[in-house]
Amino acid sequence: MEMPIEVTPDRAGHVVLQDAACELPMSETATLPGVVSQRACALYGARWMLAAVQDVIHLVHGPVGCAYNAGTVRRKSYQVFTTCLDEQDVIFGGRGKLARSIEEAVRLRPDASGVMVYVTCTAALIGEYVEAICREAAVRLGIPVAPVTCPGFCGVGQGQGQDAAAATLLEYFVGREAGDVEAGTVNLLGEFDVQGDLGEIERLLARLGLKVQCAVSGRADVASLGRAHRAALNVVHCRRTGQNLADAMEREFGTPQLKASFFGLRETAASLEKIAGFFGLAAEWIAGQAEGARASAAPYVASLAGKRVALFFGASRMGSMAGAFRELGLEMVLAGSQFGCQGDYQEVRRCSGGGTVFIDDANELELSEFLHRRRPDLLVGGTREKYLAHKLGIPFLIFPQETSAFAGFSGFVNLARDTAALLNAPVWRLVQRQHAAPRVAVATREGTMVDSHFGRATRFAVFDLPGGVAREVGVRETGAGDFNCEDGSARSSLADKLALLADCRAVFCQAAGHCIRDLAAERDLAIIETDGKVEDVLADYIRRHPSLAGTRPGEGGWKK
Amino acid sequence: MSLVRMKCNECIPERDKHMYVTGEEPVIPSCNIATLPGDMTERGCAFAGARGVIGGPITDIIAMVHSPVGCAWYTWGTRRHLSDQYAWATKDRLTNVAFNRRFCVTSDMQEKDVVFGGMKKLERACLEAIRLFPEAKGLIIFTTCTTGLIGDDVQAVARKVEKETGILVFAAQSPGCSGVSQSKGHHDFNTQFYRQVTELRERRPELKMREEEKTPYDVCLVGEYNMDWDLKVTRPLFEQLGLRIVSVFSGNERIENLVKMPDVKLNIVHCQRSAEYIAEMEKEGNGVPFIRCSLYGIHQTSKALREAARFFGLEERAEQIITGEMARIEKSIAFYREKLQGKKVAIYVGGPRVWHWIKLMEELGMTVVAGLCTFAHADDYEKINAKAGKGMLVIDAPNEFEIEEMLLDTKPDLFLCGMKEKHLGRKLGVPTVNSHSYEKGPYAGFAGMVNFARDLYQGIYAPVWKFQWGLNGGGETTDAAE
Amino acid sequence: MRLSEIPVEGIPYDQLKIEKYTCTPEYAERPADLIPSGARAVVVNPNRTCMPLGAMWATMGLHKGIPFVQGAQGCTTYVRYTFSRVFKEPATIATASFHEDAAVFGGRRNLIEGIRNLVVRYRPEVIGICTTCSSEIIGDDMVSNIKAAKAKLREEIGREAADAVDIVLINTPSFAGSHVEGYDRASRAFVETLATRQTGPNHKVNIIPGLLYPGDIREIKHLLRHMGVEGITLFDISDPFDAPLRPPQKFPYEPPGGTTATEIRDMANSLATMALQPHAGQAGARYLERKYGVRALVGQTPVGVQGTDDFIRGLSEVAGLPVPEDLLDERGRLVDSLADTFHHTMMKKVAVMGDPDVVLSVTRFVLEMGMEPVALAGSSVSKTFVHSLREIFEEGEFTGDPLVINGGDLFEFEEYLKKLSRLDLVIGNSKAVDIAKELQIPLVRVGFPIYDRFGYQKRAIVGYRGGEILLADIVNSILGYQYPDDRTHQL
Repeated sequence: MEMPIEVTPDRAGHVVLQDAACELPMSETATLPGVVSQRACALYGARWMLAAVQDVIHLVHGPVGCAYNAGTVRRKSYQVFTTCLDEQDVIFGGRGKLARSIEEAVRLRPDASGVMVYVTCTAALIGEYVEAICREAAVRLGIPVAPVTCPGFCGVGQGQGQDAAAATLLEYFVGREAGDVEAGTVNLLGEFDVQGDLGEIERLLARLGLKVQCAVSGRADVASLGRAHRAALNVVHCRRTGQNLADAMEREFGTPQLKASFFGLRETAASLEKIAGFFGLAAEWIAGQAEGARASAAPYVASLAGKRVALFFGASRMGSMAGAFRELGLEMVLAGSQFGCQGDYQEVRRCSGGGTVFIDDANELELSEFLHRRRPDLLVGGTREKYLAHKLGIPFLIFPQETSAFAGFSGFVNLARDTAALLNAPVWRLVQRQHAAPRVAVATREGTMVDSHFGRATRFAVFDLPGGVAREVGVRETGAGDFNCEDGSARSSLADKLALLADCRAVFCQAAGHCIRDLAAERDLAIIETDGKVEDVLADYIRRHPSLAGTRPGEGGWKK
Repeated sequence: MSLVRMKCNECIPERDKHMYVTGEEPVIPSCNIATLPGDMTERGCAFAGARGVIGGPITDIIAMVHSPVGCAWYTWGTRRHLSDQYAWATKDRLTNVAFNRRFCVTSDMQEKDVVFGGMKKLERACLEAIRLFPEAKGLIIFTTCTTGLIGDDVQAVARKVEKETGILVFAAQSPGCSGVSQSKGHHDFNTQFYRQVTELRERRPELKMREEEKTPYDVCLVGEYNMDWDLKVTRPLFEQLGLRIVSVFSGNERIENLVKMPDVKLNIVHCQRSAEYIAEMEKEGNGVPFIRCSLYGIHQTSKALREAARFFGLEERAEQIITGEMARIEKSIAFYREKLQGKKVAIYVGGPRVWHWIKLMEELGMTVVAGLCTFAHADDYEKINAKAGKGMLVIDAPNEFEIEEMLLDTKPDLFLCGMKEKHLGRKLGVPTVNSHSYEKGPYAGFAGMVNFARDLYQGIYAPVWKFQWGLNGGGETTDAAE
Repeated sequence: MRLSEIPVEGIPYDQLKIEKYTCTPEYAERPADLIPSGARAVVVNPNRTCMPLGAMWATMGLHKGIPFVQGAQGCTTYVRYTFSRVFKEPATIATASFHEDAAVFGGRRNLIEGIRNLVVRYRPEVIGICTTCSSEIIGDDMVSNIKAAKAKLREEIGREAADAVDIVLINTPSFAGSHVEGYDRASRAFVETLATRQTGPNHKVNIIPGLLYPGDIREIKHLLRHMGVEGITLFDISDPFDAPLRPPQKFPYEPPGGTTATEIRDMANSLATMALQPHAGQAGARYLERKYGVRALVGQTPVGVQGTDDFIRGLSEVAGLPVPEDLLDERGRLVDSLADTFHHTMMKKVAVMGDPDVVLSVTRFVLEMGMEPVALAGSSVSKTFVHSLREIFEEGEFTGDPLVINGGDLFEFEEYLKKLSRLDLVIGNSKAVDIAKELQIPLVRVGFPIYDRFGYQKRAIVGYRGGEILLADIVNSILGYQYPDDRTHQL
């Protein structure tokens, strides 16, 4: 198996093809300047982590653009205040403005129980002593005023902002309320309640008799954060956003911790059993629930059999979702993340089969090259990847998801249903359909079997498929012989060969190298690697392309 | 003064006697006569008059249109005679549109029904409709060209269905090809309805108003169809006076109240073209006197209130009402009068509104330069002549050609007309206001006049009219009108 | 006194304070045995109107063409009223003004005098004579009447001027068929009367659009232009029913554009006739094929990807021209829009009502969006409607079992929808407004008639670009109705 994308020397080590040796990709290093990066900044990470905290004022100390952009998190709008630093403030300092902004914001929202001040690039560069201003304000106002030190330039991606956010939560909010550990309570760390995920998890924990004290930050406010240290257990859901917090709370308050995932049936069941084990609770029902969900999802799973999925997430979600997609019966051809750590890649490796490509901090070019060459049946990622996939005609599943909860047992059924519906959307059939009569070519020496490698083939049998019936329209011969992908001169003879098949929408062959796929993709020619009898291969193709049945040559589907 | 000839009629001299210019000698043009074939007439048919104008506003009857589908389809929810009686759409929601305009009910005559007669189908359709709509308190069968020509005896069907179901069933027989215009349909409905109500009251005396329910101040408002909720403005005026409006013929009215028309003390007739017939018959048959009135404009509405008041000896209260209403609207009217002062207006309506509105336009400082009537009779032209100043062009049953020439000749600043004519007016760059169903009514009474004035103002002052002369402001074509 | 202190607004609707009364104390189920329209004699809320409207529509699409209605005044007035409501345009239609005498003695005199009066004043080039229920019942011998009318014209204005006016008879008895069939009959009547074989082929393609709006016809012309095909559009209402306001106009007002009689004559010499609505226009296409061997291509209206694909393929084939890149780009943009929006459309339950061709083509498009049709109501009875729907379902791999109403009334449609546990969208004309509002679900307006909103007649739903407009309408309606505002900041 060869590397599907070209790796420039400076990216070496970040792109890894999983094989027996199985190295993990390098991670958490700075992004190359000049690439079209999918990463964001520390402010973005801090907002990701904190935006959902309910009863605090979120004040972005920076120029207006940072506040404007930080208002939208996970495709939801939140109220943000800003100091809106301008040229004057940069020159003369924004101290006074920040103090005044805090006071005014509190007057505008007197119900707020705290203030979070996000420090941006500008505020950090002009050297504001934000902590001191916050301290003064806190004394004056009698509520916590917490700086979040997340200037965009710090760290290699949004991860550092999430760490800064965790630090702020610990220093200013967690443990404010006195009290002992409450039995039967847990915190969920790194759970953001997308489309009701939290409710699903809570329902399962409640069945164990456990109560969620605080979910950071899907359901967090100053009060629940204040008593978070009284929970008996910290359950870490998203490692990237939850682990730091759990470690620190274990250090400071002695709260034990446990890593869990509620995505996928197996993971959910295992996590629940672990938690039950921790509390010494009976949990026989878990397996039954998992099986019930598996049965509900079965028809969807059946329709997904053999499909290939490419995953590209922020960080830890890559690992936790990989298992779920595996359970859907999808073959994982790509696992990538913007800023995942070694632990995240280790986790995803557990779920991957041979041939999975790992790309750390993939840039847009690498992603599109991968999609072009490997043409997975599904790409999973965020808004920034969505339209790229669409333009290539590849179905795309967006995260954080938009439709329903994906966590827990019933969430898995939702995931299965959404994924199946997505792959069956009629648009993907329409993408391929062109105006010419549907025509395909088969690399075959005798005309009975698909028996040639594309590059070595000298005879192609050409078929029209009007109305879903194969009709041979002739044999085309070429003089091209052997070739080597690394040898540039071979490419031109391949181009000639492709030109010969310009009127075909697909070509069947035993195998084809990546440079062929590349050229074919440019010409909208699908290369299908297969073997077996020609008639079977064609019949199979027709069966999988029902839209062919509606076509008639020339007549264009119009009845005479 | 004299009859006039329009250029477009040089080849059709028959049309000359339909138009004149007001002056010293009052002229009554040829009117209420057959339309010339091939004339681009704006007239409708008798069925339209019966179904659309008078039958349509009744709130709780099934209007069974006994016809091919078109006649029913065209009269479904089109005219803006609004009502406040609603059916249930679902368990907890009322229908979106009141009952009388929400459903279109027809026997949908097909070829075989035409060949073999439609009575059986009609009877079945009526019985089914009554089962489908328990909301309905009555049913009126409207005949059309088809069912008139094949000679279905709908009276017999009506009697039979009424007997079988106990629901009041009436027949309104005015096929489209009868008479010369919708006016025939008004007349037919009036006489047939009066006759059927009289028979009904004999047959079922319990439907009459009981003696103990009667008051000395019971009146009926005749020829008021609640266009765009006119009644919301006019009804309270009479009620404040102390009168009890037992029944309105037929705007937003229930059929049971229409049956009680003979029980009132006075009929107040607003539209004197479409409904004076029934007032006359009530006078002759039941001894109920009537007064004529107009409820448009300050002067005429005041006059109507004063005359109604005089009949009952309530003059003082009338003056109080008028004073109060005037105080409410005078600033608004003054504002619009200033804006509309000196503007010229052409009015094209069915008939009576030409004379209803001449005074109203004067009150707003405007001049009526042309008045056109679709189906007016001689008495309407008498009223026009009495109210109009000199030099107003009057056309009876105008066609599209004449309307166009009128607009080009008299150059009004505004054209009050119906749906079919308004787009012609606009293409010629003349603003229009919908005079049939109004733009944003109600227009009647004191308060309604502010709405009317506002819509006139919006018509004339819309910025669009500044742009119509093209890039260079002079119009772009040279082969223009003379 | 300042202007702001004067109550210049009059009484707005919300201040009228109209109290609603209910006819019955509470909701009662309608009797179930009377819900299916097939089980009733009575028709409630018909989904169609009568034939003459379609024939008048067709005639209005001719250059200096005036319909002449052999019937009572209402038959004309109501249609003019309807056209004005829908197109916001003047509609010049003449009437024979039947009164009692016509009912007794026949409409011969009305026709002869009527044609005379119409011609001397308006000098039309084409007159389309539409019969009605009354003239058909009276049994007017229209062929001989028209002969007599022509003779009278020759007498009065001279042979040459009289013969310059083409008079075409369209038999449209109102008690049969529907407005759709009226158009279909007109398509045949005009080519039958006017089309003539000339010396050589004209290399053009005839287009009979059917009951499509001016915006749609403009879009079809755009497709032809980009294909490099010269077309003859029969019944081109795009200019007559979407005329500019540019005074001073000619006197009398004469709508611009329209298909000329010369063009109709030339239709016998074209490469092919493409009828875009099988129910409205097929008859004309078939006639040309039988009589002159002009190939007839009859397909679903080009709505959506595959609908337009079929049209473009057909056009490319008859003209022997390749599909240019810019049209493939247009196609790609529509497909891209589908890819961007199917999350909001897939599995949504939709009901479609309207003329059969509208229902068929729109159903095909909503299947491309992954929607699930649950009720489909075609306005007029059709022999092919159910079969065509089945083909569309097969092509779209749709296995649902929607209610299909073939020519029934809207009451049946409405009562069915009210019983559904879930419905996301209604697609149809203005006659579906009350239904949608009462069910509190959005209505996307397509088809004839649309009179309660502005602008639908001016824009296209056909072609790839039209598909994007219709798609946007559908998606935005769903978003506006189903999505909380905090879910639509990013789509």
